[in-house]
Amino acid sequence: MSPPPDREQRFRALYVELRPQLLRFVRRRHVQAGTAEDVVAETLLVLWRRMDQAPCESEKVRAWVFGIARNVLLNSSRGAGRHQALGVRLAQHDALGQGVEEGVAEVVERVDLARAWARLRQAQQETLALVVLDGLDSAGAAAVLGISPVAFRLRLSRARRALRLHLDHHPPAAPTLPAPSRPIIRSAT
Amino acid sequence: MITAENIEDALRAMDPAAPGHGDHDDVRARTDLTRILASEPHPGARQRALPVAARRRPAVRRTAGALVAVAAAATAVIVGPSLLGTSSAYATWTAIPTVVPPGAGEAAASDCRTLITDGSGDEGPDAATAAHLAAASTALTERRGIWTTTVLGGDNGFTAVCVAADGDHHSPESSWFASTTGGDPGCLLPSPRQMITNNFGVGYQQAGDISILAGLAGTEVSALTYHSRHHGVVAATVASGRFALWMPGDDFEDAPTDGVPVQVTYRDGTTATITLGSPE
Repeated sequence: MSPPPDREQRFRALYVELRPQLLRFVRRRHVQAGTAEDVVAETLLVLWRRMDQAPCESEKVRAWVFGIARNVLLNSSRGAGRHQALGVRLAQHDALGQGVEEGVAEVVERVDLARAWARLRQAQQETLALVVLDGLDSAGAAAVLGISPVAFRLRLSRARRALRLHLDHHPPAAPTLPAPSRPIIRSAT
Repeated sequence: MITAENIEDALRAMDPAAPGHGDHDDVRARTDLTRILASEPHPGARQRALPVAARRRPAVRRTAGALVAVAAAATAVIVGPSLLGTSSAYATWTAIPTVVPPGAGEAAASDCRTLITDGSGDEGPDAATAAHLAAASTALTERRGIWTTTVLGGDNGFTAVCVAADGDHHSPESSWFASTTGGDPGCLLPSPRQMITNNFGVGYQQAGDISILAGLAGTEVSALTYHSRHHGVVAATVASGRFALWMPGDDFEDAPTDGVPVQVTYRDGTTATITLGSPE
């Protein structure tokens, strides 16, 4: 029996919308280009088979599908454990420099940031990447990880602090300086 | 120059998969789509690679005679400026809280509102949070060394939690942590022997990591303790339908997935060990 036409129509629309985003999501997680397409194909196959469970809102379905892709990657890695996180890579410095005029100071800053990023735990990289690179809000990122938005907010605050510390950013010490701005984290309603 | 304010922009500039990068393998895209649509959807097939949130789970789990639930509510977390000498900042912390002196509770509540308002940026908190904050009453206060914990409670489970060291909180040398959550219509409220967690996990208040467990307590709940691997038995304050405990460090770093076991004492003298903070 063929699936109802609206089911296929909806899937086709999601396929066009989400496939490029999924490719980027997967490639950020240390996956080679060819393997990334295989992972994305398997993810979208799961989506096709579970269309009746997919959320209605576009942001929620995007987070839901990213969660599927994450689990595909975790399931495929050897020794996957319950609490395993997916490390996230940044662009290589030499690739950044190609065709871009940068001063020495800018190059040094990118190298420092790349080194600070590499010193983060995988879970911290993953937490930051979901928001900064994958563009999810806290509710969506929490759904990808399977935790509550409250718990995700707290993880995000720690990950941001860890990255700043690795970059050796310190708040002002002199009492006469104005109070530093306080990082605010708000979840989407 | 990369600063704390533009660090995330700098990260985006180093995205290894920026939009437009290698998105256009049309042949592969068409091939995969054709293959997927050619496979019959199997609603009864074994679930594979589904995100945890998509699996069916009971909203409430009965454990040891007590009902527990987790409210995944919208939350704002605010962090205060640094206190020099992080290890000494927590040296006065105590596992058993003490009572806030009479009169000091009102000052603590006022400070908490100010911390949240001033710490919410130039525009202040959003209108709903501001309204909840103004209407909220002091549910509990406690002291742990030089630290005062204040919990403000409002309608629909609105909860504001503040943890602040003594001193001028506008000083760059002060240290404090604040969060608000709940207030949405339809928010779960606890039955008499139930506890609902709405603040749970590890945050940061530049004096160091802070592990917090707080939420709503049913009317029959009189006490709660948690056994910390670092600090021993940590007692919560339970009052006015709220509970709260906190400790320095990262006890709750991985707990948001698993929840944590706590010992609950009820007004009839019975006790139970339940798990708080688990999403299941």
